Amino acid sequence: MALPNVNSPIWTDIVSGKKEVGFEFLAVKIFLGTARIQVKNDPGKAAAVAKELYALFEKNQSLPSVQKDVLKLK
Amino acid sequence: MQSKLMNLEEAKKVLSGSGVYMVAADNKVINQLPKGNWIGGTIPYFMASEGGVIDQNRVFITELPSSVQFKDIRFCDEGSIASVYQKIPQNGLGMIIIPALTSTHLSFAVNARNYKEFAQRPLVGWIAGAHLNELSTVKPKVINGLTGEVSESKAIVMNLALAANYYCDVGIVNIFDQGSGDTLEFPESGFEASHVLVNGKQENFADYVVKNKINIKLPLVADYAGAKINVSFQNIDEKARKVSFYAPVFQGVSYRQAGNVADYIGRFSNELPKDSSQIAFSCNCILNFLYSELEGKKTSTITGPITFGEIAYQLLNQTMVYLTIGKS
Repeated sequence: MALPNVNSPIWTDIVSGKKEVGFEFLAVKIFLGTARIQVKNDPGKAAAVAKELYALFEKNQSLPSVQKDVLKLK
Repeated sequence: MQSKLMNLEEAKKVLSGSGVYMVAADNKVINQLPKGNWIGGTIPYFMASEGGVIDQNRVFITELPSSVQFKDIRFCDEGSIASVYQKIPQNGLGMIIIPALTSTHLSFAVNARNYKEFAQRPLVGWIAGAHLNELSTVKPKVINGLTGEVSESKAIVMNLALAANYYCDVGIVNIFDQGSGDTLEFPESGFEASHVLVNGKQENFADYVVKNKINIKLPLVADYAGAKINVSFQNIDEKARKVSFYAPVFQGVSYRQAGNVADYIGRFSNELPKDSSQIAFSCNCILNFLYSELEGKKTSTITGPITFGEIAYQLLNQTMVYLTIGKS
């Protein structure tokens, strides 16, 4: 399954905590642990942080855990 | 996983091979090893095939699988470590060892999350230490196996690429869950805290720990989008009214102290991945070793150094870290 487009609102929904997803990929969980605080403290950073989250998925698409997580991005 | 605690002569033979290795050994022996594609750090605590051991004469070597291709080794100080994630090859990984209680260790712990490309590629490793009875006289060290150069202040990083069609992933085993107690938030990030917000109300944290008879063997646990991330207590200074930790607490993160764990070995076994055949490297925390009295006990077939901190993208405490390498 293909990744949602980098400009899809799903990425900002995830980094803002509006959308909760039970991810498996540890890097995403650790990234979000920090990213959500950054966005909470400065909502203006949401778009930039969302792009970082997209890049994390894009760079690691070959991992089975990421492939499972991509299926949850609906 | 090709890993084993072995005597010095055997270690010299193994490291003379053409593989890529992670090495852990006490200060007394680590600088007697031959040059090669490896990085090492000082520690005399291990989870070996015979169980938890303290050994200042033998060497623990993990040989990484042949799907791993050596790229480079470099030292990083507290400034240059900021590019650690950027320099990891695409479809590769970085292995790192940092000497404990150095400015590089403290800086990485606090600032890694702000480094460029944080967590975009796998970074795995541990914090080097020393025998606890010798900490006042022996400094933790790391070593560049290629050159034999030793550092008591810088991190050593080995960048690796993976062969086509291989991937690597990083996992953690944390036997602790958030307990049902107070929610704790800290107004400032760092390895020390004077103040804390307890369910939103500010208190002195040292006073809080003493008043509530907090068992400091149980870490503070944060929930990072489903990952349980610990911060372990180091000391309560009642006079200075400060609490120190083995990893930083972060402003904005909500913590709860871990609930009790009745059966460490049983809990650990339950949390381990069912298939350990792809595990290429692992390390576990010295606080787990000490508090759970693991000397002479086996936690599983997974072996590795017992360390002063674990790294899975960022610094962790009281957690087992493992690296898996598989074929797509």
